[in-house]
Amino acid sequence: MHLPLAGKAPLDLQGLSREPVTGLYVHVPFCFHKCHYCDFYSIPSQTDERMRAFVDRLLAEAALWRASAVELRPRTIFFGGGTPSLLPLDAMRRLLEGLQSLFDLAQVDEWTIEVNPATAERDYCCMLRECGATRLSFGAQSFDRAELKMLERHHNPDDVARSVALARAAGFERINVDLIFGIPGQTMRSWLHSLETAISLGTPHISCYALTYEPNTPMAVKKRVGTIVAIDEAVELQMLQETRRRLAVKGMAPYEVSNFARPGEACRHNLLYWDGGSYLGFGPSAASHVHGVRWKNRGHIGEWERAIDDSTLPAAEVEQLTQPQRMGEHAMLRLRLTDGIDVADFAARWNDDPITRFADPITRYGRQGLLVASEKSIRLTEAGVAVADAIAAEFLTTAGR
Amino acid sequence: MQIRNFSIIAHIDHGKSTLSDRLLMRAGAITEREFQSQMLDDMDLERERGITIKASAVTVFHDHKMPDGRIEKFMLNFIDTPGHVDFHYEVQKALQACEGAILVVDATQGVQAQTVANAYAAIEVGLEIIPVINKIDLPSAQPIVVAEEIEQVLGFAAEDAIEVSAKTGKGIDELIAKLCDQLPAPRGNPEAPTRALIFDSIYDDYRGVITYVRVMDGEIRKGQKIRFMGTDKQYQVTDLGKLTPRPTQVQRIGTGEVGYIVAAIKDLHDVRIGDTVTDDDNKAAEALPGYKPSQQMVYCDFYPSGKTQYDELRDAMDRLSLNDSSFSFEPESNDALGFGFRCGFLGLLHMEIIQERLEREFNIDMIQTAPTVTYEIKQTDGKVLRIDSPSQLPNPTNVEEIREPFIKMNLILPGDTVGNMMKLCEDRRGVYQKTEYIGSTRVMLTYEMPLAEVIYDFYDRLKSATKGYGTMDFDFIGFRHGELVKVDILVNGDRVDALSVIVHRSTAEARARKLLVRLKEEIDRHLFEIPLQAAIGGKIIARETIKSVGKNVTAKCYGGDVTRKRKLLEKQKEGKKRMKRVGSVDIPQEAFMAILESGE
Repeated sequence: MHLPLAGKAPLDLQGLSREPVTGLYVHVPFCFHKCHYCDFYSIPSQTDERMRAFVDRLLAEAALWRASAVELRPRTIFFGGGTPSLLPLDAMRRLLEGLQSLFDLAQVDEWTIEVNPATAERDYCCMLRECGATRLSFGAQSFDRAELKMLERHHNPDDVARSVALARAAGFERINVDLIFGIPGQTMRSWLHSLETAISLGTPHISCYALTYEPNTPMAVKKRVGTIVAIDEAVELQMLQETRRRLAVKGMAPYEVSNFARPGEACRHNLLYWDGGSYLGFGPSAASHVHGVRWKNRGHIGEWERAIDDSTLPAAEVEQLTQPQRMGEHAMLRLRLTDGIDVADFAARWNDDPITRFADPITRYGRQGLLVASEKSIRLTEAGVAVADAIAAEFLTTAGR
Repeated sequence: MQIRNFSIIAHIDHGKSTLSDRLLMRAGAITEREFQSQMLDDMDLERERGITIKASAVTVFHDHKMPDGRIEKFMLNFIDTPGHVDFHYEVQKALQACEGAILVVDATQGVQAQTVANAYAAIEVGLEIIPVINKIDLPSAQPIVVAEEIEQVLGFAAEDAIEVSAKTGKGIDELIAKLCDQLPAPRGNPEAPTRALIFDSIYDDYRGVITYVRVMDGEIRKGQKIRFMGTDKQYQVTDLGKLTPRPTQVQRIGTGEVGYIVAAIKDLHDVRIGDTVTDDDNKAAEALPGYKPSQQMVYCDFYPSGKTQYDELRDAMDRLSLNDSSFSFEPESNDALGFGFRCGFLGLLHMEIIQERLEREFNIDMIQTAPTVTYEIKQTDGKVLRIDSPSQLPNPTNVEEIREPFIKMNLILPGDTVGNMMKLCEDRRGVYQKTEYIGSTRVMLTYEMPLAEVIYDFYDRLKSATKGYGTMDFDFIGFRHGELVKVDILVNGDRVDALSVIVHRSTAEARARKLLVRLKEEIDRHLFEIPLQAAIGGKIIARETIKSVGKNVTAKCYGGDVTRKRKLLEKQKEGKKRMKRVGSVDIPQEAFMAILESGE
């Protein structure tokens, strides 16, 4: 069957690969308050009615896909936002159960839900666990009050430990804590305090992101007008390197630029993204990728709602990737991983030897000690990680030539 | 019928075009409405810049009341001259087609550098000069002071200057009367073999080259076989005419008259200003004196950029050179900038005009490299060669002497800014010649100076040194020995030819240091440290270092929105498109322009 599509985007469902799609992302665009660094799509302060209506529409979107020729058989599910945990308990339960009834979730071996540490409650966590979630991710960001204020995060440092305990009590072992470094006013000392505090919580996964001034966020504006001063680039670099070193020593080696985990505890859903896997994204602004076709849902909730109400897919920005683009993306994403590009895997997937194709950047950056290439893999050194974007950009264009 | 041939000469903006039009209107050749549109200048660019690039000749008829009261018909031919120093040779040829000149001086600004240059040029070819003080309608007009300046600087009696307002028409009748009474009639032998001076030519898409001539001896007839004596090309006249100011066909152009020839000439380069046209069946024994090919003194490269392709640029320049034979171009390829053209110009303004016309009329996107001058190289084997780019400089061991073009420059400026100006001139290796006073408040300074020192930002500096009042004019006087050295620039150890400069030994170090600082600003930090060095031969005379990038990694991968990540990186690369990789360093095109700005 052919589903009508909202807008002009020519998403050719018939043309999509019939291989099962193994990832599902659900974007819940509601926030209690918009953090000043965040540029993900979100709407602050919604009524329960609107959020319940949102769940109806999300399930309607899911139903459209259920009826399509695309087979969604997820192994990983990720609920991000916004703040998914802002959905009222009953609405969230309906959403989880609704997905259970629409799709075959038997193979799901990781289901992550992002939870705000300020509002986590025991009943809520238990419900999530009961309905199939296996992993919780808490946006701790910092354990320093002043820094949290700077980020406009409305939680207390103590909330995180409390939330982690609640999660454990509800039966979650797999827990992640997100941290941000490079916050204006942050010192190496205060950062290490936050990092050590997070480590002491004993979760098997920690993400440490350098603060990024995304365009059109309040943080970026404040920086531009000079009300805040970004920390020195050299200090930020030192924080990144020290973080990677310290966590490795504690048995949580980096498996990606900003992600750290005990062995076997890496986020499988993210690995699916980074390995070029296929996934569907539901909800406004959610991105999807099905075997070389990428698209993004309409970002504005109104437009997304209208599309769903018209029984059309809210897809926009559809992109059919060419083989060189896919190779470029593959290299770009894999280079961020500690394991780097698997030479045999790359060659098998694209019928193209990466050592030959990328000979130029390999030689150049190899000589500078930024990457190491062997018969098995092409991967960045610690020095290379610091400039990973520049190197990835070079691989991207080399693939396109 | 009496004939009078004259030009109007003036400093830029002193009202030459308006006066031309007013004269045409008074003689009934154009209407008031046409007067408003300054019809002699037919290119937008000229109008905007207030200068005339191509000369043209207009014929009008006037009934003049002779001193004895009789009314006699006069044919007034006025020959427009290009208004800038770059076109000095064309100015001179246009003047040679005349017996007289109207020298226009702005009543509010007085004598300026080009007033002097143009007056001297007219005196040199022996013209009768009628000084005119224009814009007397303006409240700030000072006709008496200006008349005194004219007397003091140029030697024309103050009381002979006619006060006019081209805008209101005041004094125009008096001026026309004076043209008829005072200018000499053309001489020349109507019976002698034809000799006509080519003083201008333009290219017309339908008719080919249109050649403007002043007949000195004999006549030119429709159907006549003519020969250009300098280029030795033969053509048949298909069409003859005069601009009145609309093109009007005539059967013949007689001795002393001006007009245009159409002869199915396809290539503008066959028609050289200053050349002599003669009758192919009855050739003149000798050409008119003084013909020389126009000389290109300033060179730069044009490279296509943005959406413009190499072929488009070449086609545009082909078309343009049909209209302007004094501009030349040769294919050039540069390690750093790819394929483009080496272009030669009469001077800096000429270069700017060509660049603007390419961009405006042909919608071309291009990169222009820093201009350089022509150097004369005397080799140890005695051979002398001309080079127009530092990369052409032979091996130093084969070079006995490097000579550079020198100019003689007249500067007119307020007396209290002389100190600033002299300092600027000395800094630019100027050789002081003399100081003359113009009235009580202004001074004319004369310097001899290397052209290379003027093509940087001399004009801007002149303006700031003289609070905006200074004016300049210069003339090429020859090649002179210079203590010149080639400074090479090494980026990460690799010499980049396109960045080499020829400079005076005494300023080499300072120039090199400034250049490196500019390069350091223009070249992005790389993943490794980049040494920048300037060297004369093997000797390093300056160095700078571009530090390596500390951190270039985005923390997030934007979840599943891989497209966003990819586009971010592509954007990062995008900015580097107009870069040239030398060794492993990406050098932006701006860096190649930086050598232009480092001349202090």
